[in-house]
Amino acid sequence: MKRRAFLATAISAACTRDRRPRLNVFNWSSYIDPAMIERFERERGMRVVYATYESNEEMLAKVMTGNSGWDIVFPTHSRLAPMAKAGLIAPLDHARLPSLGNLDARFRNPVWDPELRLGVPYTWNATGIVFNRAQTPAPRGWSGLWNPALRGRLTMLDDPEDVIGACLQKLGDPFGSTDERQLQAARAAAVAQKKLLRAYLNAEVRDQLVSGDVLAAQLWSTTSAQAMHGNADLGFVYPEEGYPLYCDCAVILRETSRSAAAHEFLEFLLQPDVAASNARVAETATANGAAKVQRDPVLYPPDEIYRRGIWPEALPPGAQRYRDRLWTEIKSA
Amino acid sequence: MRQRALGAYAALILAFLHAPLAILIVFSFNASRFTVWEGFSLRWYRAAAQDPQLADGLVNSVIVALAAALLSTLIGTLAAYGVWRRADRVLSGSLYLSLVTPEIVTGVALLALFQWAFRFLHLRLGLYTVIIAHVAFSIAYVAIVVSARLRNYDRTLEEAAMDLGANEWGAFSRVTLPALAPAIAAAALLALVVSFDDYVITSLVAGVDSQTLPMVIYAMARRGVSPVVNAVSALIVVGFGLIILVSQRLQEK
Repeated sequence: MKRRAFLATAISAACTRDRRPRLNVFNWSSYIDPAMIERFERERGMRVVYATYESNEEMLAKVMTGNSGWDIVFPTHSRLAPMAKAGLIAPLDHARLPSLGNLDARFRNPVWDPELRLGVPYTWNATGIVFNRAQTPAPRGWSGLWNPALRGRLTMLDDPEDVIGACLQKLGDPFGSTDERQLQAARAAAVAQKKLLRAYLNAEVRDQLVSGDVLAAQLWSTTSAQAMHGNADLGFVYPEEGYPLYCDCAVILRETSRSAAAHEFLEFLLQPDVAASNARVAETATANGAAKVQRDPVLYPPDEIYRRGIWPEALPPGAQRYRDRLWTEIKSA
Repeated sequence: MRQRALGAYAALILAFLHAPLAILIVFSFNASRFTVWEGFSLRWYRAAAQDPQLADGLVNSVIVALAAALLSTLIGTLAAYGVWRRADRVLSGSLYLSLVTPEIVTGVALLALFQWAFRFLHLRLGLYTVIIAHVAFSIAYVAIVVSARLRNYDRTLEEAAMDLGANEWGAFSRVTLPALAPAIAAAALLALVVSFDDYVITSLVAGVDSQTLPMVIYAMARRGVSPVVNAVSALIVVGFGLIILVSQRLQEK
């Protein structure tokens, strides 16, 4: 009897636990201050179901069906156009987002979404070079990563877009080139560099940089900034040949039935204090210009450096397949 | 001499098996966030305890593992018994097939099935699809453990029971089932652990409200932001270690 009573209360508790209107948010891991979610729930009387993904592909695989249940996702800027083309994105209602003006000037009319119809820029970063000042001269650009002195103590990202892009830029070609001759030259450069490489690593390389084991790495500015807090000998370079910038944007999915609540959440994220908190916890650069955060030049490059950066676009499917094949050849070379 | 070499060999194998876990546990107590030792600290355990996402993931994982273990033990035991009674090679082979199918294939197939079904039923992926998927792949584990036990079980015992007046159900429930009980318990534990561990299939069929602990950990590890992952993993290792100890105790009794 006692057990049955317990079950009954447990079940009724599970059913009545939350009658608050809910909002389903799907974001990158460690990309928000959990206290801000609680604050939003408290202030608006809503319940936020929050889950995380580890790549654009994982998120896209879910929302592609148009029946995923998510209301808000955070794709990288280059995915916005293809997602819009696939009919997945609900256009932003600017009347409900009066705080869009808080965005940094760089993000008020971004090249990928000039009128901010698709997504609200949230956080951004760049791919550059982190290196150990004490043990190696500062590289000026990508070409410095072909230095034989770095043999065995150099890593590149485990990412076809970034590696092939860096090889193209080293050779003076555009990061998003679809020209087969340029791409073949980039492949040859990558294969030549492989003799010097320890491995293709993403965020995992951070601790090897801190311990002084790896001397130079192609790495994101955000992860580099974390490593630099752990080892004062580390420096970061925005390559002179150019470099890619990435911005993750908050997007409302077309499938949502909670458009008003979703806009409320985006408006909340645009508040300067919320954006500052989120940027601090995620240790990344916020697109919010009004947020009061320390503007570390590693995360927030000054204008003359920022101008060298490019915002990669999605490649046409044929070019993407060609690059995927090159990447397989590079990795198995 | 030989004895000592054997001991050294065993120690090496044990180190090979457990050194990575030992290192993980040591660094979960590190004061620094990097894999450079700076001193003892419980900060990552505190951070883990305060992370609402990890808590949600743990709750989901426990619900899924318990439900999947219960259902798959029930279905798997009956399946093993049925296959054993029929002594059919094709049927028992099909159980092995689902065991050796690569997880990614099972996951994609289940996802395709769900997406197809959703066209008629107005549903979407959620915790229940994760449970269905886990039951689906756990059944084979359960059935194989139980049928191993059945292979050594003397069928004439059931016949003897029926000679003595038991009907078929009575013979099954009062003679066969008690004889299988240890295997069924072991199978349930195996299903529990396999379900709790699973990442690949889960990540494919999970939707809103169904992020399990392995999914949270994987997403965290990929971004590499903090050693909270170490702390949680250490707790999981210790937790499962305790389950193994308890199950061994139970078997001795």
